[in-house]
Amino acid sequence: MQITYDPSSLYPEFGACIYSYLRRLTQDTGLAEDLTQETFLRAIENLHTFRGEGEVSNWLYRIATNLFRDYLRTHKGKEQLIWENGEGSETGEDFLANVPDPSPALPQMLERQAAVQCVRDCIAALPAPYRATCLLYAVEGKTVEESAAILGCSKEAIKVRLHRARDLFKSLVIELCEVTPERGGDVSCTPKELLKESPS
Amino acid sequence: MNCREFIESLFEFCCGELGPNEMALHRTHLVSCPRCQQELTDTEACCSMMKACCGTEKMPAGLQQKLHELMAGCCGSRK
Repeated sequence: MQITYDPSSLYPEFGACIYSYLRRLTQDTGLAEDLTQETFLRAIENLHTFRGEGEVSNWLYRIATNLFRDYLRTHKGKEQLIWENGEGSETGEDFLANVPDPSPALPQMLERQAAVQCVRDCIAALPAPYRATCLLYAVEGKTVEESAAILGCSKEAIKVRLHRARDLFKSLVIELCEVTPERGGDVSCTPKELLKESPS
Repeated sequence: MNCREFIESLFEFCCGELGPNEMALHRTHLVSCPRCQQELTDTEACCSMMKACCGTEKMPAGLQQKLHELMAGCCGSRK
């Protein structure tokens, strides 16, 4: 079944979401702007092929992600290789073979807004496929099934990526962030790297 | 349900993607399993923190203008 969608409503409705997603995914404002523009151009050109299977926003996320993958293929071979190969198996056998021991609880800092920049840095440090999967699931609110459709892989692969990304994100937060109590009971969060560089 | 089954579908459970019966099975398992409770707590904390720190950004004015012109051009040429 083919549905009709008003092309002029695409950008006002989804422009900010797609730009924000690409901004976080690419970690590059200029590139995010270029890819956002290209996403909507491709969408307009191919709107007649959108068959109405799923939401139009998912279709736009898929175009945006594919454009970023194309960019990596041309400019960053190594990261693209990780994406193509899934950085090892994505069958789920690794994390399901043995139910893991409970990992250390996340520190209280994860509840604090003061850690915003540190959290963004930790997301940025994730490998691109994990970053894309986390952004779609945790930030954009897509389900496992929708994320699989957008990224063009199986639900199993998405779940493996989410498990790995969560564990990696936790270790990065614990490893990279230093929490300091402030007056009034608040906390600030400083990347440990900056602490090393500052004069004693 | 055992821990292995719970962890396998943890992310589908978190976003309410499972059917009512499966959701109920997961909740029943959680009541008696501190390990899976911890897994769920950590997962929800990570997701909520990522979401809280990555809100929708406003598009730069230049990009808005470009997209506006792009849409106007494309939609105009289709008429």
